[in-house]
Amino acid sequence: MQQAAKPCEIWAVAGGKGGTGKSFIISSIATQLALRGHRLILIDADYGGANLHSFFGISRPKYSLSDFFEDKIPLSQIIVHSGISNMGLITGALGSLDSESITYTQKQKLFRQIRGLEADFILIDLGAGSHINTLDTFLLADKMIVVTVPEITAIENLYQFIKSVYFRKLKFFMGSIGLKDTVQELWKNRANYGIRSFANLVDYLKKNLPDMHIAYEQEMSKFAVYIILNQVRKSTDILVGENLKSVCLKLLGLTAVYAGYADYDEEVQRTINRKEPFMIHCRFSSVVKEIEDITENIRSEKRSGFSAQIYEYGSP
Amino acid sequence: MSTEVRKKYFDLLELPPDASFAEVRKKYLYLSAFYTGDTMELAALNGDAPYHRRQAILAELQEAYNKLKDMQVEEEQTQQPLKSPDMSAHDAMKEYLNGITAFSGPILKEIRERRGIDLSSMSLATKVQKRYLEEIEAEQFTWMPAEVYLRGYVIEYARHLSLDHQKVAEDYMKRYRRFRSSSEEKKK
Ligand SMILES: Nc1ncnc2c1ncn2[C@@H]1O[C@H](COP(=O)(O)OP(=O)(O)OP(=O)(O)O)[C@@H](O)[C@H]1O
Ligand SMILES: [Mg+2]
Repeated sequence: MQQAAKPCEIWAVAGGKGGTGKSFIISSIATQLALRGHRLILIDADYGGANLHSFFGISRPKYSLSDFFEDKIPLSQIIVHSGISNMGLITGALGSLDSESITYTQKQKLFRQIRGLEADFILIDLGAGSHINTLDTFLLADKMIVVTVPEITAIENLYQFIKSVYFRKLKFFMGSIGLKDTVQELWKNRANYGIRSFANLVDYLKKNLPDMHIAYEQEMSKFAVYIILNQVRKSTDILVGENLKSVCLKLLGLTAVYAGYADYDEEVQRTINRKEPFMIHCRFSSVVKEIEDITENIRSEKRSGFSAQIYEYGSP
Repeated sequence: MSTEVRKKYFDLLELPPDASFAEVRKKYLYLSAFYTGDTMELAALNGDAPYHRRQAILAELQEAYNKLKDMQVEEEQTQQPLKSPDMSAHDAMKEYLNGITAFSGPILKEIRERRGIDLSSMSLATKVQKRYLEEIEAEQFTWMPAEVYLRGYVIEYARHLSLDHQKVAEDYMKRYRRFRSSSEEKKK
């Protein structure tokens, strides 16, 4: 089916802490979209710890991002088949590359070529941490997805990550209206300006740069994160996603959507070790239905997401 | 209330603008409980949610809820009564209310129970301590801090039951003054 008129949508997943299930979730979402007939390309942009190919049972991919970075082969020519129809895979560089060794020019070229890929969806998996290359790749996305588990350490990392992304975005935005160093300066000397929080900073900018107001609404109001809660073991955990959404809104002043949660299921690990894509081989797991719901909530841009159902799970 | 202001209140409660009042109430109680408590999520923010900020958030939530509640009451008063299945219960309640000449503690209790509202949830919504609400119903005052508070609490109580709070407060305080002076006389 020809869908040339519809522009390609980029989704990226990140989230601060390692091992929360980012790669598992994005590979499952990708499978779900592909099963629904959408043509997509999944990119492993975990610059230091590429392993996305394993979720599709591929052990030694024919091409990888190394071919792009080192041998200058165009991105569109290093797509390998994922084993699932409609889905192409760009696997991460194994061994030779880490986040530090990517130059600015390489990064710009990569972003340009990602945007130029032909598909309905481009999905990007990112590594843990808040490295600048991770932040910049994340900001490439139309839909920014974060994955966390209901644990205080993961939430701490997630919150820091979201702050870093937002700060970076704000800096780019201020640069685009010719005020490149303003954000940095204000934040560094925030005590002098009576700025105590992120939300304060944004209020301060809006108040003192009247022209910025409109541009800000246009550009920054599009900034939204989709929160996915993974490895849920008990029903009260489910509320954590809703609470994090509220925190993003109230303390950072940015839009967040609770896209849904996925249960902890031992089958996940078992299928990965058997080199089988989970969504295809575990149809009876509750996680399959949950991934379907998550995918639909993100795709349809229902801003209320999963939130309407939280009351079934108790009080905070 | 302008639609813009309305939207602001719904935004504060993190609800779409077409949310029902029941949803408004549920969400208000949910978020108030979250920002009052010591939850894991807030502890993970490393000082980004200090006490004064949480208090400010709670105050905003309270305002949004009160405003939307008032609006709901206004709408109910201007709307023609709907033909709904529980119309008979509604009529019975109306008849009962019309028969009341003066509001007293026991009568308030009766109305509350007929509406199926328990004191704990009323206390949460009105932010009036449960023991004060109990005292209002029993007309026995041990804990109530001072008379000036009593009137305010009675008004909150009445508003929560969608009663004419001016009339309720007037009736109630009249009775209160009567039995207080008689009990003082007994002491003498
Ligand atoms: N819902 C789940 N139920 C059970 N196990 C899970 C679930 N999600 C992920 N896991 C397990 O957690 C492990 C880590 O998952 P994954 O590799 O997707 O995390 P990640 O966030 O991508 O890690 P990294 O930060 O290293 O890239 C996997 O081996 C998988 O077995
Ligand atoms: Mg990963």
